[in-house]
Amino acid sequence: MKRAKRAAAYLILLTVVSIAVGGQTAERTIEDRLVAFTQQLRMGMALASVAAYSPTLDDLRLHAQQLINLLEGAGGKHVVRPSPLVEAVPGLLVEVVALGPRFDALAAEADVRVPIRDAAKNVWTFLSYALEAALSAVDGRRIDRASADMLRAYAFLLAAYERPCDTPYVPALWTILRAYGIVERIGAENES
Amino acid sequence: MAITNRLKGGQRLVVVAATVVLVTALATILAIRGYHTLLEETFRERSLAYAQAFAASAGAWVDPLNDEMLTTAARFLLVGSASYVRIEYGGIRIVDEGGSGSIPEFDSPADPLAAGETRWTAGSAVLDVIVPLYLSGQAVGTVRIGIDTVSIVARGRATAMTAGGIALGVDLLVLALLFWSHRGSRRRRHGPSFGGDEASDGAETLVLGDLRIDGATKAVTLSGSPVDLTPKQYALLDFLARQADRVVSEREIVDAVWSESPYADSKDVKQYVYLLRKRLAAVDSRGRELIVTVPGFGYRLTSSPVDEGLTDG
Repeated sequence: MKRAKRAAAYLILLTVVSIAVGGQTAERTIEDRLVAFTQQLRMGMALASVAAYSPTLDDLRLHAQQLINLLEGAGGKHVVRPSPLVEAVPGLLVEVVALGPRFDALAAEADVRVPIRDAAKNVWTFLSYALEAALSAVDGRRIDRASADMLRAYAFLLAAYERPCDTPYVPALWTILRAYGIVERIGAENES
Repeated sequence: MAITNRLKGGQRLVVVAATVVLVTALATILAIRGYHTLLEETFRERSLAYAQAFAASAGAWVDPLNDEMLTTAARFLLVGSASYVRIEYGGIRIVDEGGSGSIPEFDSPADPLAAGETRWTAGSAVLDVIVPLYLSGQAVGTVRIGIDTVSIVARGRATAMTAGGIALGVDLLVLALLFWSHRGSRRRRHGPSFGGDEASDGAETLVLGDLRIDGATKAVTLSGSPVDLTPKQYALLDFLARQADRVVSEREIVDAVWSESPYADSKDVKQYVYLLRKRLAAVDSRGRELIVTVPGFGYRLTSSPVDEGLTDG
């Protein structure tokens, strides 16, 4: 039963990624990949928030595992997947690393390239902290502690998303989206 | 207290044991009920918060509408305890995942839902949760999630079983201790030993006709004359005197007077009864008749020496 649920979670992950990438091929533009990345990240935030308030510990662990799958992708060390693997799914952590050279290539000017590279590095750092928190939640035996872990994961995902605000914030994904002028494409202009 | 004081040892034990069992059972039932109430409340609260968290996330995909992301997010929930997820926006159902079309409607779905509402669907193991869907601070629709309660019911049942088992264990332990304590006190009462720490046990003076046994000084007199007894003879006389007019078997006497000796038997009883009668008769010739042999049953010390003819004539 547990295995079946995990398998189902993985299949949903495939769906999310396929939605996010929109059937795109290797020729996807960096803008398309950023939009897909943002959608995945927002799905991760949704998972982290519902996990934190899950009615039972089993649900919490399940959503935490869904988040881990989303962060690590198909090749992840902690991904629970059905066998045989149907399709390679990139994880957020893998994707942000993969996008690094593209940022360098497109943003030739140093005053743009350096902040974007820093922002990408911050995104990766925040995502890895979110992964750590989610892994801790999956192993949790008490719902209150596991909830706290998922709130921690949510906070790191939110930091990676870098929602602009009046208070000081660390550059992350939003800075990149703004640099590429694609804030409107992710349908988040009403949040700014 | 007054009632238990009037009861004999065995009866008192039964009353105390019954009280312990009753109190434990009552405390366990109350604790389980309290735990179940807490579990249900916590489950309700968390389910409501769960739906609110989902609604907050869903709000980001409602305007502009992103059906695919909404549906996918809903399906993430269906993998867990959620049995159905419905999202209504502007009076239109934009997500309807899970369930079999037989989901009962809320009586007043258009109620202003400040924080949401939960209700148990009659005849179903699903908690129905409905929360408002906000967009820019305005309630623009509702999110409804049915959450399966099977796991939480199973958990409540398992906890009740565990608590019942613990209560039973405690009952057995207390009853064993009570029984052991009662048996020990009976032994002390019936079979005085001669150690210093038990010298105070049975220290009162017993008077049965002309026979007087002073528990404090261990002195025995018959018709005012001292009877010289060994500690074992004294113990035997003391035991018989405390059971005056009652026939006690040789086994009872062995258990009480020779409780520390695994080798004592009826022969010892016979021998000591003989010696005791002899010592009593040495003081008063009618002392021999004080201890009556009841063939086939045991011995009886008479408390009415007049009737038995002890002081007669």
